[in-house]
Amino acid sequence: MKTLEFKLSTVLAGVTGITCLVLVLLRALAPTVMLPLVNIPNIAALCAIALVADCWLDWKKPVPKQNWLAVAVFAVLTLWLMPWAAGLCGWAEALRVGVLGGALFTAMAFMFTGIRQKIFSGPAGKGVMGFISPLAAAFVLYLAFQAFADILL
Amino acid sequence: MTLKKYLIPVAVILACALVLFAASAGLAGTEEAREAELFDTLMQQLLPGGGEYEAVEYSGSDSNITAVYSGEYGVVVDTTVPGFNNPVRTLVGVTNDGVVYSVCVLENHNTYGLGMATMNDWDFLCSLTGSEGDLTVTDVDVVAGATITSSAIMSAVNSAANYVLDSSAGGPLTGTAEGFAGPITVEVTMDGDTITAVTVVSNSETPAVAAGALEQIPAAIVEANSADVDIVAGATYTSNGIINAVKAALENAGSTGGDGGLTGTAEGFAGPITVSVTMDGDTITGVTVVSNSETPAIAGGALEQIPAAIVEANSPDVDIVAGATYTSNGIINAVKDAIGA
Repeated sequence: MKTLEFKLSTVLAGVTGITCLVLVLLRALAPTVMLPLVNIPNIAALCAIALVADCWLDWKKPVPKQNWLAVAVFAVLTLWLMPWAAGLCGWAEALRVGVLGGALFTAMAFMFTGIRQKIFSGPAGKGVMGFISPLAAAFVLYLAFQAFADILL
Repeated sequence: MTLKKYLIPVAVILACALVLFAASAGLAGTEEAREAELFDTLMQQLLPGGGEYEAVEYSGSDSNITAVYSGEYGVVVDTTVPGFNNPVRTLVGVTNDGVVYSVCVLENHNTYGLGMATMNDWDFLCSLTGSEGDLTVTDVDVVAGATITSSAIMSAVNSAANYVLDSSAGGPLTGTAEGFAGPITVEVTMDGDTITAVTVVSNSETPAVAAGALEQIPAAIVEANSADVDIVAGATYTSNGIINAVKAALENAGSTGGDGGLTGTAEGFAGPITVSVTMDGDTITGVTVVSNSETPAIAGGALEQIPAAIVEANSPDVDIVAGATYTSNGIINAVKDAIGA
């Protein structure tokens, strides 16, 4: 029995926090830069980066089991509080982004975990391919999710 | 142990949020100063030598216009117009005589390589300058694959130019016409489509003969909100001189009256649609959708095709575009409203 892990949620928080901080700095120091919108396609990209980062951090370790309810709650908290704290959107809009983004991240993470288990149980998880395969899988998931989910925001 | 695992992500989330909040608050002053600096730079680039720009309260009905900044040589109009899938924010510099001097797309989050390309397509952006609120898709080579976003920017440019032409933002409208003893120059002050004041600025008329006309005709024009008023007996030339000068002022500004641009409004699907119709006698020479709140992805075809069809048919009685019935009828009814059909 594997122990429950929340590293994925911590990684998402870290990636989101760094991204928001960069946006805050750009907004203050380089006002001519057009900041990306807080919308589903961009959140899908953020989620994909977090999933790949989590995968690389756990490289060669067994794929951990997830408490999906906790993952969803932490993702909602992350994607609600951070854009709001960074002043990228108002709290009500941030809540909407958080709820939709949290659901999006949970769905992506659920599918990515399945793909990851397949990758690391076969030849695609060996050597350099072990680094490239999760990246490719996350990119395809990002394309799939951002293409349709933008309707929600 | 399990509780600790729950606490780690919560602590990270809260810590990140706190850092972000502190950074955002701490950099607020810098952000404000940089934005003010950027604002000054942009204003001087959009209308060079215009001195200090001041925000002017906009109370008009054009939903494209979000802010107006007035300078010595003209105004810079801040517009936000719906693009293909995201709004486009554009600054337009317009001189006091209503000519578009410069265009700067500030924000455009439409499709990368297509809609987004409009903000860096210099041929397209340069072709918008020099216009006077009468741009249509047939006048400009729009960016390939980005017709709707290009149209949005053109709509912003038209709104900005029409703001200057339709309002007194650039000062009163001026017109001159021949009286009995020489030219008569008038200043016409407008509030939207309403003539609020007519002042005879200069004339060479004989006071004893022309005094009645010089006093009564401007008042009559304001009262009738039209230059078509009765002349004063015994001062026919002076009366006609004032009337023609007012008509010239209105025509120069593209306002209603004479053969200038006519404006009409009707309800579309998502809100009112305002059109500007230019006539040459009884012929419709141009139809421009000045403002609308329609969904670009649905109404784009109608917004492009219906005005062109009306010009071609020289009549607002044209076929609607399938899938955009409300928008089509909105444009048609707005044109009917403009020409009084």
